Amino acid sequence: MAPVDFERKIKEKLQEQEIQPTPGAWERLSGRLDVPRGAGRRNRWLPWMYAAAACLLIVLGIRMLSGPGSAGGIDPMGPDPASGDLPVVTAPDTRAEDRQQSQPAGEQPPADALAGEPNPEGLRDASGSSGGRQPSADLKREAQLPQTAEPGPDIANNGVAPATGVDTNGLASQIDRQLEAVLTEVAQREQDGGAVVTEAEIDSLLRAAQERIAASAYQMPRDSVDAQSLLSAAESELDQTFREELFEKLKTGFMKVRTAVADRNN
Amino acid sequence: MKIIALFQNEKALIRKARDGHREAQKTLYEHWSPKMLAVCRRYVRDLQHAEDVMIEGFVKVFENLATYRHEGSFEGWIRRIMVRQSIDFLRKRQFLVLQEELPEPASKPDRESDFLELRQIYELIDALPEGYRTVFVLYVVEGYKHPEIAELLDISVSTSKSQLYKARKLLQEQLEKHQITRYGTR
Repeated sequence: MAPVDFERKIKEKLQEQEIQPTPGAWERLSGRLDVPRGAGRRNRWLPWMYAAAACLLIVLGIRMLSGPGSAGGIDPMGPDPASGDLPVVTAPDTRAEDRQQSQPAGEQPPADALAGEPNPEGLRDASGSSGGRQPSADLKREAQLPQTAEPGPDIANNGVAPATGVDTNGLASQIDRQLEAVLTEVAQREQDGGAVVTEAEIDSLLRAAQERIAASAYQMPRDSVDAQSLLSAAESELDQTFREELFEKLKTGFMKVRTAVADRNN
Repeated sequence: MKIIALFQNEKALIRKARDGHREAQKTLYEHWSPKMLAVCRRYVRDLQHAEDVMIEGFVKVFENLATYRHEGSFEGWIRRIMVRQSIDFLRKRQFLVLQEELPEPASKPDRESDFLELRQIYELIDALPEGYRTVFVLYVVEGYKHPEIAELLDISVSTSKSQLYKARKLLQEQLEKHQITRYGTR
């Protein structure tokens, strides 16, 4: 028998064949079809949703841990440090004591209310302005707190200075001092030389001032380190190194071209 | 008469089945399931597993009826789904079954008949290794071309050709052993 015939006959026989499924097969299929279509599709998206949520949590966590506003640092979105409206972080019990001291005798809460709540302020913070208190009264109290709080050890951090704390007032005054020094220097140069100080000279003076500010900023009191200042110092160093390298390359290239031109002319 | 009536109403039936009409789905299932179970059985040796594959295939058919454009035959469309489902099953099963059981040797065919019985054909085909059998059935029975088989099985065209060649050679050896007929290779 020719192979083509053999295969054709196999094909015919197999294609004609029918096999009756078992009687319960339709019920099984029907049961599968009863499952809502959306359920399977939702399940398909579920891992992606979990992954997206995990990514979001990680990003938020990183931002909270490494952001400048963390651990007592300055919140870039917060109030202007120069305006003096910086929130002072104090321990809840200290605030309670302060409140007791600053409040008039008639406004003192019942003693049992305070005794029953070891951290009433903390609870209030967690639940917003609840508990029947007026928000405006809370705001007034918040405004009074920085004035009443003593500049002693930071009880919010158990007496330990925050790792990345920044003395903003000191920093601002340092910047002002450096700016004044630059201005004085410029004025003096103009008086001495009689010529106008160029922009490049002003630039270099400002850069030097910036370096001095950065150097003094990251040597904060109480052995704390400002990450932002460290980063800016490292960036300026890198910038300088890169610039030097670039000039070196350009110089080498120029020398090569000059030598080549000289050789050709000879 | 019943078949003619079905084909006249096939579009309406498909439309109803697509909209989730259970009776229409059942009618389509009852008409096509015997043929489709035979399709699945060619790839899957065990009949119970073949039925599972067919049911999965019908779930896909009913879920994807909206994509059927009435351009080719409905049978061809369902058949392709069943073939893909069977191949998926075989792929998954390779990870599940570590040692494939050795198929029983084909029994001696009845020499009086002019051609092999269906049972004997199955015995011959089932005796082939899985890869050979799949390529052989796809090429010889379903009429797929080598590039299509290569795409379907995620293999190269030359692999598909060599698998078919080896399948034919094995079949020829089986037939010669039983002195039935001569089966050359193309």
